[in-house]
Amino acid sequence: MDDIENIGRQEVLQRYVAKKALQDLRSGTSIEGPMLQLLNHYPLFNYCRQETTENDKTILKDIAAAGQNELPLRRFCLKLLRQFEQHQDIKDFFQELWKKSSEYEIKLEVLWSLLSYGDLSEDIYAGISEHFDAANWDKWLPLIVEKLEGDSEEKTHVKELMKRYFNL
Amino acid sequence: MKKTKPENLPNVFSDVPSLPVVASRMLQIIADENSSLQDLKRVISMDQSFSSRLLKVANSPYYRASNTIADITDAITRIGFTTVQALVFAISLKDLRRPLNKVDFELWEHSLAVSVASGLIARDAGLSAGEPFVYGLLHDIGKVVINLSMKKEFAEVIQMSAQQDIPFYQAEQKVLGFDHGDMGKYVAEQWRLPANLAFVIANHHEDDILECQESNDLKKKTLVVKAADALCSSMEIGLTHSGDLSDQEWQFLKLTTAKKREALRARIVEEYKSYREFVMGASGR
Repeated sequence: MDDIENIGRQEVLQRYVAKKALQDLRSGTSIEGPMLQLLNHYPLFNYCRQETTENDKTILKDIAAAGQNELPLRRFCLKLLRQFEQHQDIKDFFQELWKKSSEYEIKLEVLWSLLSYGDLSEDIYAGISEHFDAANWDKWLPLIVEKLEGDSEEKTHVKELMKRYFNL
Repeated sequence: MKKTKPENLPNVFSDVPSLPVVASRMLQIIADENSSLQDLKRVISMDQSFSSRLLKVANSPYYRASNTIADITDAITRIGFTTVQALVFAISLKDLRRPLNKVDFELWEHSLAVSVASGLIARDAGLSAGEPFVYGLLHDIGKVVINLSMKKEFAEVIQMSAQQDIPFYQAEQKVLGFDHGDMGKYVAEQWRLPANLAFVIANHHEDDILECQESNDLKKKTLVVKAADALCSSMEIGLTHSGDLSDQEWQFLKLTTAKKREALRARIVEEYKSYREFVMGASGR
């Protein structure tokens, strides 16, 4: 019984935190780094996504596109936008952001959505192959392993296997 | 049984790439937060390129393990799921832009059907389905490599097999001087695939399987793939033209009656359809 109550309490707390985070984004209140770390991870991120509505698209796009904002904040907004990835305005935004951004953190966040677009242009496809190739793996490999929730040992491991067995 | 390497067999060292459609499906699964680990295991199990490479890695000295692995789930467990996902990401992105080749695609369709069929026959024969599923998927890896490295000659093989109504391996012998079993055996050795798998790849068209010195278990697994190949060929799934089994071989698998084989064909079609749809979507290509 205690366990169930505890789980219930945690859920209420997480819903509250998610609601507060979305309110802060809408009002332009800054969210601190440690809090962003938590928001970017599951299960808290799922609650944030549930709190996001179509009306938030513009503000999320603005924050994600602004190069002066912290990368974790921009990534958080891009992750929230993924649920609207098939909306034409978001498709255009992701493609534009891919072309404009130089940061791998941003490219990786939009990459997943881009790959789901059947009508993706050849130059973006070429750009994906060019950026995520062996020559640049020190830039993207740690990010992809982190995104898959692997640890630092896993990063070394993947690199070693790719070198030895996959000719990458 | 295949013993020596034919003199005119060309040296092939490259890996087989994934089909763009399969690579794309793998990436979708990694990217989709709602997809399960099971989904990724399933799609990897349907990809000749990734399955063979995972087995190669899992059985490599890098892992210093004593037992040989021939099942994809075991390979993923040994390598680690995050590592496998990261590898899938890197490899699939590379293969995503490869043009879709019709022959590659039809060879994959056939291998997938034989894979599914091998799993079903194996279960009926009291074996676990994991290994035979992989054996079925990779049984024609020799054909895939020939098509990759000798496109013009392989087109001649396809034409001769259709025009003269002879199995592929006979047409290959006439055109190339060796068959896909020879090429498969060589490739399996180059890639250091498990010995039993290499045996099945090399010998699934041989007619002396029952007389060979190997264990009954390996004979049974080889015949399971041979039977799966013959049944799928009779239903013309993918690019194939294989021979039949002898009465003795069907008997060894307890599949002597036409009624039993017909029921099996119906199950193969149903299950193959579901696997194919998982990768391609319900609309097909």
